[in-house]
Amino acid sequence: MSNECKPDLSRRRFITGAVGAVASLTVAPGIFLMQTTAQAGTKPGARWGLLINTNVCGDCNACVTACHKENGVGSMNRPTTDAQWIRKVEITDKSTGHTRSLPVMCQHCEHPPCVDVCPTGASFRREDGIVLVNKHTCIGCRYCMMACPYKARSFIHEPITDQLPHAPRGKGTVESCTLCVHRIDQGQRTTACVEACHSEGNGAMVFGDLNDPNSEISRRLAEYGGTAIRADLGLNPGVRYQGL
Amino acid sequence: MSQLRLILSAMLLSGAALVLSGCGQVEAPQMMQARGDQCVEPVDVMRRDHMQFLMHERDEAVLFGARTAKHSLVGCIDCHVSATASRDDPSSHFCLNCHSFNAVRMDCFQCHADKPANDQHFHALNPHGPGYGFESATDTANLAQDLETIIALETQKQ
Repeated sequence: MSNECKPDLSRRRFITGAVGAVASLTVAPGIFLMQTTAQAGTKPGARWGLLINTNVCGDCNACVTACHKENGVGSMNRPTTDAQWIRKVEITDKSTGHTRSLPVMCQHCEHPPCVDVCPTGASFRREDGIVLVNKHTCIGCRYCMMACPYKARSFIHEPITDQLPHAPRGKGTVESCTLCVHRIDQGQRTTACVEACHSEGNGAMVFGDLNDPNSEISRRLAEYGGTAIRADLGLNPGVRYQGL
Repeated sequence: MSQLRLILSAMLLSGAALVLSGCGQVEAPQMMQARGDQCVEPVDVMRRDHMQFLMHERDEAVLFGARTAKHSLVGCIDCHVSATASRDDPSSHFCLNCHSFNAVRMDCFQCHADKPANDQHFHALNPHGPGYGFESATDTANLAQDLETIIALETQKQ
């Protein structure tokens, strides 16, 4: 289950991101002309994931609203084509009538089908397990949307003008949940949906490092277990559910 | 005959010289003042190589999450572009002003925000900005909300 692929450290990565070294130019003691910090990039050995407890998740919509606000995803008043990074899904057991409501977003698979089918390599999986679209190389063919068993991806059909600085979005590219990669790269350890779920919702979501046995998410998974949606596909998603 | 040719060519030359003398230097566009004291690189380096920095580091940032305070497009915009600038009016926008003058089309702003989130936004290296000194993840990590710590504290309380 957890034989994670570890990509080789390329020569370029080694040179540019090997050390968190501070290069500075000093004029006089204590006065810096310019100071830069070469940042190492993704946290080594990490695999970010989410754990959603559907026993606690109610019929609120806080995660969806927070996600779309955080990333500037607005509606064009065309529900069939509006971008959707996260959605609430209601499932009912027909025999008992028992219902569950749960948020579904990009599941950040270890073996993502969207990456397999992408003809330009724009759909990729970062070393820390986050599956992203490199919009610089995305040609908008939408193969990844077809391949994704979770229907997690959206296509932008119309020109957009009010993007947020940390969340570039543009016509002709595919997008999906980024696991709030802008926050993770800043060193924050929570996503907009998880934050909203704790402040406004029922506290059903946990974000954390699945590879760190001492993280809250790993401890909860070790204690109570968790299932993946469509586990039969063997994609090993980073988003896990409890109570399904 | 050859004299006539000589006179004609002399007239043509002097005419051309007259026309040329009428043309002054093309006036460069008025660039707006940046909101910092100093750019991340010397001005001549930025004028010549800014596209190389942006192109090279965008791949580092997107593919490997290696985001540096220097050479980030958001950082450029934070200092150089006013929060009231608009891509529809290139003369109000630092990047578009020069790009439209030089007739170099760029498509950064089809996806990227063309202005800072608000007036208080400065480059992380700008000493006037609130982000100064917190330019990398290693620094902001201490300030950032660590959900796991919060949860651990909450469970301790209960």
